[in-house]
Amino acid sequence: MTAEAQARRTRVMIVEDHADFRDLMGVLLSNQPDIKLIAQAGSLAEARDQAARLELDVAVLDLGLPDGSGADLISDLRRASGDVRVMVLSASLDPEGIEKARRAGADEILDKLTPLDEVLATVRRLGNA
Amino acid sequence: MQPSDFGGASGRTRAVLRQSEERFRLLVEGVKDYAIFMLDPHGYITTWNEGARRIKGYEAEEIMGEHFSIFYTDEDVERGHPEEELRFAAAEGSYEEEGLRVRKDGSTFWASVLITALWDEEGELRGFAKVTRDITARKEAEERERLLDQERAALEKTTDILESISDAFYAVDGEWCLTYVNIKAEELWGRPREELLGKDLWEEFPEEVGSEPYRQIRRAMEEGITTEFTALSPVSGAWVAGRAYPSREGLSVYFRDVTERKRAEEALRRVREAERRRIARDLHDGPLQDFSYTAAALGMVMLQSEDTELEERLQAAVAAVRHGAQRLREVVNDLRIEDGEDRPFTEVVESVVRRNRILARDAEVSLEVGEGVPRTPLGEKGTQVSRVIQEALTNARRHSGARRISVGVRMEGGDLRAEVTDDGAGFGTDGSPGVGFASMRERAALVGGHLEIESEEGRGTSVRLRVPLPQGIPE
Repeated sequence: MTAEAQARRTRVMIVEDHADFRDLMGVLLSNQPDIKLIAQAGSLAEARDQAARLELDVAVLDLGLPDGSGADLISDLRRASGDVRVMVLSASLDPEGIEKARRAGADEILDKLTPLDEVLATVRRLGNA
Repeated sequence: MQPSDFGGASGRTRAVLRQSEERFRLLVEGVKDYAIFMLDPHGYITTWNEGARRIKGYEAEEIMGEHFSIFYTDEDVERGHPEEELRFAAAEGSYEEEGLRVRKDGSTFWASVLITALWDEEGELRGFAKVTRDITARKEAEERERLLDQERAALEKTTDILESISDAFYAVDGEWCLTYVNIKAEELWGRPREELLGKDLWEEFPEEVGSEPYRQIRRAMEEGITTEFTALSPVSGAWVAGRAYPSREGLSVYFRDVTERKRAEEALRRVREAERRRIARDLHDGPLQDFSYTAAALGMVMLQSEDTELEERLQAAVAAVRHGAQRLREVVNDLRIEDGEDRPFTEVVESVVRRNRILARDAEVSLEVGEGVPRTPLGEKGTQVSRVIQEALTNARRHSGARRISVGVRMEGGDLRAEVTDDGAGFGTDGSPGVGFASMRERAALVGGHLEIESEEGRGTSVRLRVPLPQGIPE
């Protein structure tokens, strides 16, 4: 991989409290040459802590986290990395939660049941935007 | 009076006697209020007076020589009562009774009768003197008094019953004037009956006008049917449940304080809702996440086995897991109850409909909000109305196979009306409306509303809810 390619890799953080799902997404994203998984978090607190120290391109957020809704994280992420793109992965598709995420500025909202190639395509699209 | 034969008296004495007898005869004949006449020993009439004419209706010339049994009823004659009276009078000197007698025109009257046997000096029975008085007026007065007594006793008994029951009771006449208020009603209203009796019910309790009891009580009067109500009383501040029965006079209304029961129901409802939320949370955080993960994990394996036999075999498994997760998601969403108490009512309804649009994969869900529907939070009423809509939508979505479901909310004469109609299978009269409907009814009652369900097999189902809104809610 060239330095240029290295530099252009999309920097991604996953925030997900379901450890197996998080690991799976981690493996999926790490396997992509153009994507770099730079952080994983299982709670809002962990995510805030890491986001403050990192430069992010894309954040993949779960909504139902143990210490609150992933939607509450969006403004913090934007403060840390101005042009970060946010993709929400939701299991429930609960209209209230989705509404909230949209209002908070989520760029994409996907069902957790979405086929993985589509998930990857979305991460790439957001990373290149 | 027939002149007696006083055989041995001197001429002068006889003249004096005759004069005296003549005066007596004139006196008797002139008496108007008593029938005074004489009978021969066999009961044939031999004299008649003015009183007899007035009381019995016969002129002297038509009655003289008739048997006195003509004044008796057929039953008395049949049992030989007239003769019996004479026999008694002959044996005892006189006979006295009160009984029914018959006038010339066939009408009857109550008579007080005194029959006195008349003997001559030889001890021979010469006949009878009969004095009859019309005592109909007195008898009728006595009868009236007796009936009044009976009525008084019955009323006392009714009053006893109405005062001893634990229900509050009141009665109104056809003009809504209070005619009875029992002690329980006094207690619940906090007002003495002296202050209420004879007054217009709605003028005395203007705060009730427009409430659910008001509607039901008026309906009982107007339609002549028994109606029921349960509502928070603005008068007593307590939950009351009651019934209004149409009566001959107007209405009888029974009601009781059911605050304790309501509190228990409310507590139970809160427990149930907390339980629903807990189950929704558990299903969401556990199985739904695991299903999602499993679907993704299988998806990952599929990605890695592209164009192999394994990919094909996995296809069905992935589809099944996805399907399962979707179903589970619907259940979770149905279980999640929104708390709409502090949110604008129209917003709550819109969000319920939105949620159901996402979940209804095969049906179109439309919403129509009529003019005047409050945009402010409606508190408990808003919550219950939105939940009834939610439950009706769940039923329509899950069980009816409807293609179109329409939700409407509108105002009608101070009532908030909500309607959910589908074009699905319906359940007809034999079908079981199920637990969902019982719960909807309960919710309606909780806010003093009324729920109507119309369904016919093959013709869809319509759920209609009516909830009275307090006056003055801003739009």
